[in-house]
Amino acid sequence: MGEILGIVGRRVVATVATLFGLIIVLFHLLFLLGSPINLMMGEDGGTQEQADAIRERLGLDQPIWQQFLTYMGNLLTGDLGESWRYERPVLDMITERLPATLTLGLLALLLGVLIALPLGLLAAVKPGSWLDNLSRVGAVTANSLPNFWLAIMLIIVFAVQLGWVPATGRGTWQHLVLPVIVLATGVVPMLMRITRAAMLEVLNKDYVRTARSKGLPERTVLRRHALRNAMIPVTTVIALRVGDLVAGTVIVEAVFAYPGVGRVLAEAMAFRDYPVVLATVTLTAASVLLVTLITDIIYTVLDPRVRIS
Amino acid sequence: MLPLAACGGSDSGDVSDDGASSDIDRELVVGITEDLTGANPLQRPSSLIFGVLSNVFDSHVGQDPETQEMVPQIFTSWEPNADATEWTIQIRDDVTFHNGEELTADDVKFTLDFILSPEMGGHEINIFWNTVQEIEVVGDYELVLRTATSTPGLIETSELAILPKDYIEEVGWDGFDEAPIGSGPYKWVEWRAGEHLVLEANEDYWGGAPEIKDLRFRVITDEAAMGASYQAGEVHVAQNIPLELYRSLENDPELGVGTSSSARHYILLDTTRPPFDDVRVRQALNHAIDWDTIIEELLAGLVERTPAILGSAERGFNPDLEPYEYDPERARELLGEAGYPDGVDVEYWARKGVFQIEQVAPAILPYLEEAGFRATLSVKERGDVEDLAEERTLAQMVSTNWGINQQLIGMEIYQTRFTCNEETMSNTWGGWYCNPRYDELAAEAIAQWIDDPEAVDAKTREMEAILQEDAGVGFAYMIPRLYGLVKSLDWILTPTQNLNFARARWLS
Repeated sequence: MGEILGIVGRRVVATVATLFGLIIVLFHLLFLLGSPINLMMGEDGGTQEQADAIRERLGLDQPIWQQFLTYMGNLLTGDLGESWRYERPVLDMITERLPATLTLGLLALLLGVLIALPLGLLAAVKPGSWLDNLSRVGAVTANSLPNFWLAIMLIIVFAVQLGWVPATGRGTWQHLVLPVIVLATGVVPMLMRITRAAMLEVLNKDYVRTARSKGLPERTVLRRHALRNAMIPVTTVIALRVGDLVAGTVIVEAVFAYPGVGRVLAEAMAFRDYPVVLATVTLTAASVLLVTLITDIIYTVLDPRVRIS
Repeated sequence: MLPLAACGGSDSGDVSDDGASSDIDRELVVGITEDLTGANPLQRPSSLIFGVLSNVFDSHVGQDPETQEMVPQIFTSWEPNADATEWTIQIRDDVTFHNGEELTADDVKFTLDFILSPEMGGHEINIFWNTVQEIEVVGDYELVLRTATSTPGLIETSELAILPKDYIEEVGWDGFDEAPIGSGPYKWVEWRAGEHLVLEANEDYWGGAPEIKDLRFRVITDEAAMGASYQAGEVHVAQNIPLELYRSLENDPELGVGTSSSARHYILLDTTRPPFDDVRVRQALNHAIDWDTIIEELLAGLVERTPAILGSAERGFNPDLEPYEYDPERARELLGEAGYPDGVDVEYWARKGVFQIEQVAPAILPYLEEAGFRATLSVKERGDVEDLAEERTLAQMVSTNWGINQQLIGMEIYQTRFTCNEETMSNTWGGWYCNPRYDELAAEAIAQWIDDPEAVDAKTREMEAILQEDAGVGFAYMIPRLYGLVKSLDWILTPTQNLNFARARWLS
């Protein structure tokens, strides 16, 4: 048990260190991108006096290391700062949009899993069948369609021509249909192929052969012995997707004018609203790291082999 | 072609009462490309958002949508003393805020005090009003402003939305942001960031209750999404639809289109160093480009060429000026005279965000080449160009835009960009072009701003002519903003795209 705690402790430390490293790099990268002052003065520029006033108000007149220390100090007390453009707490801006993005992301993931798992499994059980070939072609096609292009095509057909669903916005379940489909097409191909590969690998293992040679019915072999083991890599991929939910919807939110966190991030980038960019990216990274950490810990507890490596 | 009416239907009031009332009552949904940054109309909103907020907040003066003339709103009169340092202002006595409280001179003073407070430092509106030193409330509906220096354009430089003093003192600024009230034609119902702003008619509006009772602004930043939402009938007014959609809808029976000018495209020339320090080279550039063909082929003929810097809807426009003629021979000749008989290498930047610039800038290159300008083009992000503008390390020529000023149309662009003094030199964009005669005229125009509007117009026309002769920049065209406007709506889209719906109504 002590051994497990030690490993878990090391993982936690590594995760926190990664996050801090990321913030340090991100903070400095953003400042390399350029100053937000001119964008804040509006289309028509402004005077030096005006620029200096804004610089002072935002604390940008201080040396960068000092700005960084202030930022980190605030971050440790849970203060993500204030948006330069909106003059509102960044945390509020993100939390009020988070439900919208999570709804979209989770539904898309659910739909993706519901399509990808059965297809992947069937393809693995009958490799080379018409279903296997069809799903492979489908996966490659879906993977090569740009998100925004597919989104616009779906809008033109189903919203503008047929009028079955709204084109843009948020409010009813109908608003979710198209964006969820578009996002799901991003999930299905990889998940399906990984399911197929994992299942195929397991089906070639000795214990499956043993189970078959014991005379167990094929259904039992597949369900009890093969499926359970094949699900380990599949679950990892799904878990990573969960961590990715927050930032994965940037383009789709723009095309469907859907007010989620992705839109906050995109707009903040355009206006160089760095506190918002920093917070959004940091939170996304944190959620990915957290999910990875949890998966790691679960592995450590469940699978003795992970402990050794 | 500038001021375009929104409606295709007749304006003769033939609204029949035959059971179409559900249609007349329907909510008006307006798609806008940009979100609010908050409820306070004084805190750095863009001109677009200021127009949206003008439905909730009245300004001190307004603009007539048909004539573009400045008209009294909350202020009914403003009289300066002889040297324009003291202004006596009368305000309306019949205006109430949405909570029923009366709007008085105290509210005007409160608003101005807020603008002049240190926390507003750096905001554009603060710069416009910061010559005001003293605000004296003389009566409920009268006040006197005293300025540090003579400021003839004081009242007309910037729109001043009047805020409710008592309400804000009672609920605080946070409370105001939660539930803002103004005195305008519509009341605030709900704002959801990134999603929409919902308003309802103010039945007690001093200017008469609006006919359209429910008004909603939807934020749709993506151009394609805006076009699709308009086609799908989800928005009735769509700001910024794609050019292809605009053209395909030109003959549609229901979905109308319209344009307004949002800005002008011009080519900034660095007159402080070769080759554009020579007026002949600048003239050569203006002769080199066949703008008429570019406008016809790439911009669907939707834009208006500017002979000098102004468009025909702007104050100070000189109708006698003809644009530079496309004449590559003459351009080569001028370049030769300036000492570049074999042509000259120039660096050319195009700033992203200028309408269709990604198509237009490359199309200019062969024309430049033909006239002897060997230009290397780079397309730059807006923020990058502005950083470099501040550091004064721009390319020799930069395609960029300059917005339409809501109030001081014509004058402001001259004051800040083409006069040559300490203040304009410190503007991140201005100050390259210098002509003493031009500066003289500008100073005279400002001095006569109130007393003699006709003299001001004569001076600005002369300034236009000088700027054109000097070829201070490369002159191009007014940039259109393409709108979708359903034909069942009676509403005027102004060149300055002021999205105020106080007088809009459904036709049937």
